[in-house]
Amino acid sequence: MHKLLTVLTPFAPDQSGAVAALFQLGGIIIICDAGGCTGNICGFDEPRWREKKSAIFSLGLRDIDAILGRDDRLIDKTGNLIEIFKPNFLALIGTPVPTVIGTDYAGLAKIAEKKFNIPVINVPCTGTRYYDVGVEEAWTALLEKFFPENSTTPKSTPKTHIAGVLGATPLDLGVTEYNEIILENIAGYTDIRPIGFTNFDDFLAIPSFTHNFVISNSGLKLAKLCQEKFGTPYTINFPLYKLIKNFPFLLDEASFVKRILIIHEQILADTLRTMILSVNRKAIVTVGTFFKQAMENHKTNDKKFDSEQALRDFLHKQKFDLIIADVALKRVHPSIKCCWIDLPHFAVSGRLLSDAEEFY
Amino acid sequence: MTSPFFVSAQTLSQTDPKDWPKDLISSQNLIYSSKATLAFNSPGAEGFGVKRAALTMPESVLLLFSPGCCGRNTSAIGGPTSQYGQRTYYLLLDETDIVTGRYLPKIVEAASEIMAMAKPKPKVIMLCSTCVDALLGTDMEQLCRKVEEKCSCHALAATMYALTREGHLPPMVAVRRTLYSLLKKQPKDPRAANILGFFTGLDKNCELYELLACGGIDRVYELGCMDNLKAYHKMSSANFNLVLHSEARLAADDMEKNFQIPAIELFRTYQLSKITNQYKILGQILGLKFKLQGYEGEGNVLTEKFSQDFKGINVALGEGVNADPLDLALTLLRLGLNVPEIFAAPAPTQLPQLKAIADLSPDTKIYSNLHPSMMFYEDNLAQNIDITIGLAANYYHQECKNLLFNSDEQPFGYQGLKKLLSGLRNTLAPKRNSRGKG
Repeated sequence: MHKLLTVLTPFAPDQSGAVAALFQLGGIIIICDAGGCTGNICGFDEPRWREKKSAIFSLGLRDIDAILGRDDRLIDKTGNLIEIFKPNFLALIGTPVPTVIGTDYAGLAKIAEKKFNIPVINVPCTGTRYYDVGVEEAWTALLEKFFPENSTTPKSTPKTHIAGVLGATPLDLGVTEYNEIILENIAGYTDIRPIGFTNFDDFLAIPSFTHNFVISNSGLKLAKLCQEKFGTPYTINFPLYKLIKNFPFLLDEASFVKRILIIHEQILADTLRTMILSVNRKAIVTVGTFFKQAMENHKTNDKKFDSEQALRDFLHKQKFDLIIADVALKRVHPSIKCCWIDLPHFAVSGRLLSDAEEFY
Repeated sequence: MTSPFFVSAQTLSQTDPKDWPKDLISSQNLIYSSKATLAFNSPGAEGFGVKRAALTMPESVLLLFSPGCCGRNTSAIGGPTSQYGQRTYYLLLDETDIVTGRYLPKIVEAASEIMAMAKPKPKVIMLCSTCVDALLGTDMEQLCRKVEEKCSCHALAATMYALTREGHLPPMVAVRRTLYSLLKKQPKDPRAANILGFFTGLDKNCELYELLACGGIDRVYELGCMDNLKAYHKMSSANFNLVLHSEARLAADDMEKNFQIPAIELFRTYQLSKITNQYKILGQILGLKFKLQGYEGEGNVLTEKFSQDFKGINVALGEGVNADPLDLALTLLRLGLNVPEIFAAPAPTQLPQLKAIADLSPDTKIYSNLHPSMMFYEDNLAQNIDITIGLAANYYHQECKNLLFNSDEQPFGYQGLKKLLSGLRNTLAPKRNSRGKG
């Protein structure tokens, strides 16, 4: 049955993505929920929560607040925290409860902005979409807030030979530290700023970036906006393949088989495909994903799965010699007879890249 | 520097609960979900939340119908080999589903598909709804009836309504009530009793079983120990209920009303004198004279020795522990230990305990784990903590020795005290005052 998960567990939702995008930017992040959504994020979807502090709070909605539409509770509860935290911005993150009661996020953001005199963004998450949408919306909202249409930031902002990495969150990368991302120079750049893993000053420096590298589809819209607003060119690629624990073995294994399926975030999977094809020209590599698919990287046989059942049907119909995917997905077809290399995807299984199992 | 909010035991005990600072009331503030709070504030990845509690029902599976976000952290307990993962299913709702309500017939369809595929074939399906259905006013009774008709099994509503946690029927009260709702009236068995309150069984070495057995009550039923539905149904034959957690009161009231099973509520305490008194009162109610001297004597020896060995050490404790934090604090203070910090916001009903704590340790700092200012708590705020008890205190003093004391096997009575003291002793040993991982 479509939308019924019988062996998988739900993937990271949009509010987790929005929080992941904003986590290190020094804002106050208010999740408009009763408590459970915040618990999901802090207790599961944000691995940095165990190591770093960030001002993430639940609004603590109660039934009577929702029934009476007491949006002013947010203003009351936030009140003195602005003075204490001195945040760079205030972010209101949606969840199913405000979605059902039709909360006017934009109106609420305007009131809060006027009351607290700080920039306020809203990310109208619903909990029904995937994390990549939330990441994209959070960064877009932040960019629009700090570099609005009528802002005077000129396209000719002096470029300073800085590379931006867009689309970096633990949900895709499966890492928690900035240092892990900056493994080596990217295309000759020595000053590399992975938005999402650096501070707010780096976000504000976006107009001065010389080039942006989009490493996941959740960063693509931001890259396009940066090109539009600041004239910054971008490249879609995942140059961080060395993060993948099984990478040497993976490439070795893929070099002598024919039919290969990679299931992950599309850009990472597509980059792997390119690398595999560079060592094995005869290989037929299919990229599958449950998440955003950009046309720029789409090949004819690529597959978007919209349910557990869709993946199950696909695996039963198609034959592969090698599958490179999060091993949690193997539950969908446990008796499948082919080599399976574990490529953890945090948004799927909550496992970091370093958690990759070494069985195939 | 900004400091975390706290109030001293003395100040709070001298204040009318009506005038307690609103910083202690979670609904009045933004909520900080640090790791200290996850097991009790948003259970799912840790602790017992509605989903895991609902699966206590023997021979059941759970169908959560909700936006994907509501089931996300169940991944932590729902791996393919876990008993929960194999019994949990998700029907994901999108925005159109929510707006149109078109998902309701799909629940029946999904339940039918689950019943056809699940092995072993379940006898009960727990239909788990969320805040979405709380707001939409979904008629869960009717939904359960439709599932029962279609699937020829029992269907029960497990309502995970986080929005109602401070209302008249909080989720964890509602799920306890649901769990006993399949029982049917039957003749009484004078030799049987139920223990209500926990989702897992008591420590099998707990003297309560022995005391009851000496009084002829040798069949003690606990939901968390039931392997199948046949065993579960024996619970309605019980002569009385022992309620060990206040959130099971409503379930006990239902059983009293429907099956005329009276209830006796016992409080989980670690204070030796209170354990003895409570058992004496229980004996009087049941018309039994429990032989407590042996247990009490052993307890006396243990507490005296413990007090001699560890008097004066500093303990921080809080939520996320198999104890009421205030009772635990009082127990340790009466043994001569110091409790400089308690990470748990007390309820107004706990004023007497608070006063007792204030008498012994007026400067004890009481923090609310959920308060936003707890983000500023630094380990060095409280020097010389020798040991922490529970998840919350462990989070704040990660370098200290820690006794988690939150096992699924529930401690109670003299055995609970014994377990607490031996746990503390083992964690503190061999070097009393050293800081380091325990």
